[in-house]
Amino acid sequence: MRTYDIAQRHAGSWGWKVSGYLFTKSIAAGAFLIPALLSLFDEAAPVERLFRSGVPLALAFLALTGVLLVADLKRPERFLWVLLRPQWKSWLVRGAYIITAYGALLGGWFTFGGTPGGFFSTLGGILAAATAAYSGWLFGQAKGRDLWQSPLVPVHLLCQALVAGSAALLLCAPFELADLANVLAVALALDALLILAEMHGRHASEAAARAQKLMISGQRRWWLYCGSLAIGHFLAIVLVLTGEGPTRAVAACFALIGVLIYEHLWVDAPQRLPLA
Amino acid sequence: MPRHLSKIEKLAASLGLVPKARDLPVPERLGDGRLSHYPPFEKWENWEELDARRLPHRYSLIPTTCFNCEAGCGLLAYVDRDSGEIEKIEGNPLHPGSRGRNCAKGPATLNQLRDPERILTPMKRVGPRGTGKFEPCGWDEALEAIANRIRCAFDEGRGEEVMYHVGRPGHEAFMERLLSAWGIDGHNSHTTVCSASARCGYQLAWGYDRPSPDYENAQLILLISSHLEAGHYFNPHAQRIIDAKNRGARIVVLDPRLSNTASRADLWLSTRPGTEAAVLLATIRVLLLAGAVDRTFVENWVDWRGYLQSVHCEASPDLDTFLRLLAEDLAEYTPEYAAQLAGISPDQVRQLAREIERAGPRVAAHVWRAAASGNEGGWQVARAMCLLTALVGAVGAPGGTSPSAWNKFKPEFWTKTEGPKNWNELIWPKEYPLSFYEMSHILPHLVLDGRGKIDVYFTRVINPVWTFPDGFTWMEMLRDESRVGLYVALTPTWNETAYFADFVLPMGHSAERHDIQSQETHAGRWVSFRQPVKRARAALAGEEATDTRSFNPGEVWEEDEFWIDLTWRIDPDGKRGIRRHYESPYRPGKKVTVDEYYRWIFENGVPGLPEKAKEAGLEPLEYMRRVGAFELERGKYRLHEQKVEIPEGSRVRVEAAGGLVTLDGKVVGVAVDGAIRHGFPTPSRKIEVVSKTLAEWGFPGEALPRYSPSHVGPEVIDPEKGIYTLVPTFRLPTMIHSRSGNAKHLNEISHANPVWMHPDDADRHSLADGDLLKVETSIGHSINRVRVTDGVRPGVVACSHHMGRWRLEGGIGSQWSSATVRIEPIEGGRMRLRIIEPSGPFDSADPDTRRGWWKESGVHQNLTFPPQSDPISGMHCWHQLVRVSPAGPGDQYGDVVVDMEKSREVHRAWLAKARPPAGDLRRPEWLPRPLRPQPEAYRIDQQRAPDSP
Repeated sequence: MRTYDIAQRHAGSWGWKVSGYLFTKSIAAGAFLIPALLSLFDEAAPVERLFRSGVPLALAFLALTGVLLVADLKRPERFLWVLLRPQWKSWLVRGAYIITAYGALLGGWFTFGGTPGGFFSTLGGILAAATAAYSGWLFGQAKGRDLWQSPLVPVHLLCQALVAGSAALLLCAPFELADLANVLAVALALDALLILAEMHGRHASEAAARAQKLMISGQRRWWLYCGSLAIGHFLAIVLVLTGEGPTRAVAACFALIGVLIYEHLWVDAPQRLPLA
Repeated sequence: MPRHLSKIEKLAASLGLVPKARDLPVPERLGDGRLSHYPPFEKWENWEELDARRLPHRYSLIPTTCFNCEAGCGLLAYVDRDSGEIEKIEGNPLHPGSRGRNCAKGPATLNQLRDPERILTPMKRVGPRGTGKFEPCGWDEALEAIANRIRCAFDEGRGEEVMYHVGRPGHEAFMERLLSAWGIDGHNSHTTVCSASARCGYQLAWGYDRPSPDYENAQLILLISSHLEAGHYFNPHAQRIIDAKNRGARIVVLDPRLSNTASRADLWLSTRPGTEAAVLLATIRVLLLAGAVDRTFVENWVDWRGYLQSVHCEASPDLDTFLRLLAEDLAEYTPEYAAQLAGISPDQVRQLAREIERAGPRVAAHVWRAAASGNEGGWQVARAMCLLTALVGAVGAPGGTSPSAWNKFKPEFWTKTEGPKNWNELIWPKEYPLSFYEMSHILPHLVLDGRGKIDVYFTRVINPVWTFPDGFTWMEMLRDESRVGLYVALTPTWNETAYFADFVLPMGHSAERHDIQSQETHAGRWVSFRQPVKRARAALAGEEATDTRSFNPGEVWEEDEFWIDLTWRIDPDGKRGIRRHYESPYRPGKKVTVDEYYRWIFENGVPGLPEKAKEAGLEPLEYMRRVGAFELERGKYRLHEQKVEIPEGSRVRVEAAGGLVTLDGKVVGVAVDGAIRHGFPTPSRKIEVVSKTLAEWGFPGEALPRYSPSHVGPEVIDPEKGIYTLVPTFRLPTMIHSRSGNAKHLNEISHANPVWMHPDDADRHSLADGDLLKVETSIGHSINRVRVTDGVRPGVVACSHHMGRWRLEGGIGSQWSSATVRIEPIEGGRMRLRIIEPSGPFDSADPDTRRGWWKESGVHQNLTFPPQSDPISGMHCWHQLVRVSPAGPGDQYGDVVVDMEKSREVHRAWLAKARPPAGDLRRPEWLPRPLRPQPEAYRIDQQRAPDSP
């Protein structure tokens, strides 16, 4: 029931905890997804070493993701109800089960070990991809926010997971696999293209276009273009391709910051528009 | 079906991880069948359901009727069978008007019941009047003091010094009958700040003072207002408008503001305020030229002969000539002319005409406040609207627009009262013989002019200091004990006017009082029962229940019992002839109880109810206690065509020219299509295009439908110089005037009233959204925030009603909705109201009172409006011509500064436009009055010598 006369103080119902959850989830998903993908192409030994870094990293960030998710609930003490009283049409529930399954697999791998390229590696890769992408459909269920309705959102989240995962692994295990830097560079380039397409492409509705405009104008414009794109993507690509050692670590940090900035802007902007 | 439980949930419940689900009765479809989650009716008395923690609760579901706006929607109170408390309030699915669906104000009744600041005991003034200091007193003390004073006034022949002033009646005829029994012309109301103008326009056209559009069957819904969003019957109308829209009906809205209603329109005409009549007349002309009129209806039911006789007496008296000449008389109202005035395009006018032509007689049209109430001459808008519907045959048609009286129930009583013998000139001043109705908004000016005094003044569901224009003058009158002897405020909650009372007497909310109510929400006639639900529950359980106070919190009472008790105290021995009307029809000589009062009405005055109750095996009163409402009939159309039953052997006279039929010198109908029919209650018994009443009562220039420039029309505004039209009347769907101030949830939804301004206008004055701006009227100014929005047309600023509540420094009052203010004289003989402390969180038994997150509670703009009385309808013309500018350095949010002397001058200037009657009647006898005096009171100089009523 819109009354017009009251400022939109409650407009941002999803705040930093939600964008934080997207970010930690991207790392959690990417940290397993990257070695799982590389195991299809690279030698087993270095990939196995990468798994050794990736699995605890993924577990830690998945736990952090869970904390943020529960903290964002209006009734955190009821978080188990999402799993135990499931409403299957909701991507919140589906996502909770995906995360739970992914967490179980990571726990099992961490405890008992696993084989790169094996069944659990493939299954884990699929669950990691689902963990990254499901939020696209979850946001899509917020029908009033047109910017979140794009069918590209799950793909974009998957790409962000590749960026975040490879950057985080580069920081944790910089010498494990030379391909990691190239993977990060490719993922960053792909992500930059998706961001540019999202920001400058045509949108299906006026509300989506207005949200898009909010992201590329005003103060947010500097965060987007300087913070996320220039530093978080283009500079990161240059540094990761041309530098070594600490320079690559800096590039990885830039990439992570770039992902975080974009995800926060993307969560925030559509909520700035009135619903009626 | 019960909710399907997954295996996961069953397992989790068995392990104790989530609460166990329980099998509960299956929800049933009730009412009109579209709501699926109401408990089955037969289980209302003992219903069990789980709360949010899955703990079971046993309830009795008792219906009542909402008492927030005037729609009279059905409510269903869930009374906890263990604690006896009302735990929640939902809609009553068996109510024919609201059908189980309610707006936010209905369930918010629970907030009002539990308001930690509500008045729980009778209060008596302490110290000087108007300082807001009170102490508790007993009901007996208050009643005795009031009764003694009234008895004395009656005995001394000063009955007209007793005045009852009401906002929302919320009942059917209770007070009119009481005042009639008391024999005093003491009924004052709020219609001249509400709907006088529309009432006047409709009345002059078809003899009824309001319409009843059949929205749900309409093809075109034409609204000059925002009914869907916030109008008079917002909820029952809104749901029917949307039902119709979902079925393919189209909506056209004329409104300078993008209201919620306009946002749902197929065609939104953002007309300049005051130009709406021109748009309607241009539309009529387009239809006439296109021949798109219902010739049969016009032939039979429009007084075209009267029109030709009055305007073209030499023309051939036939329908074609009338249609041709009417179009010629409207020649100046071309689409281009109207569009240029209204600031829209000529094509939009033509499109409106096409929409109407396409819908044929299924045009449900409504203007109630909006353009009618805002503008001088606004009643012409309603008259043009009525004429428009008549020309296309929509009057009384299915999906068209019927008169209100066809769809409203009126009760009968076991005794007849005679009515007042005298005419109260403080309420019905001679300058306004055509007013609709009581000239309440100029009461303080009349009193200060020495035209009379008020010995006992009651207010009920009204807060004129805040709601009416020119509140400072109201304060001046109320402070003066020589002008207002004893002031009694009947109210459930504190308000700005009650600060000036001598007694503040707490009355119940909708779940704590009795009334019956009926409203014309659709093509049907219903009556709804408002009842104190705890008392009703006790009665249904067979317990003795004779005094509503025993069931209400504290010493809160209800008006019905209060007035009956007071009447007996005024006439303890029955010698004044008053008491007999309040003696039991079942126990002669005994005081009537409220149960007996309604029992008699339900048994004898509601056709069909006794039979319906019998079918259910219940007495009529018990049926209404359990069901809450009864629909007498539905789908009655074209009642004007009903034949008049002439007693056998009687001889009637039929007038050759107009077909008027008289019996014993009294008009009983009109001869149409070979029969004597009821027709419409106008002098011609038909819909009148030309008003002889206006011509005869001093306004020949207004006798024909026309566009009269408004006091705030496009001719006088000049945005370049900062001069705008202020639309101060629009409402929010979540609030009523000041009665909802103590509902916490409603306050959270809406609590400020910024001034809407178009971005082009805001740029002109370098104003950004949220900036402070100064709005100057002819008597003062207020400081408010600007809301820069495309939702209002350029050249118009708008500020919603409801907000800007206040309480005095150190005084009592509701903290939910009001800021603490200081009222003080400043330089230039002006008065200033300034916020000392904004509204904010406060401590109470309700933890929510600490959670208020808003600081600004609006600006009391009405203080800066002088009374601007339309010379014909008497309506206070709400729209203001204002100068807008950025606030100055010394200005604060919420400041209101008023020069009261200027207010007196403006009142006199508007009064000078009025025309007292030239003949020996005070008012045309065919025009209605809510409380009709005896015929001799209508005659000037026939005021009776003082005697006992």
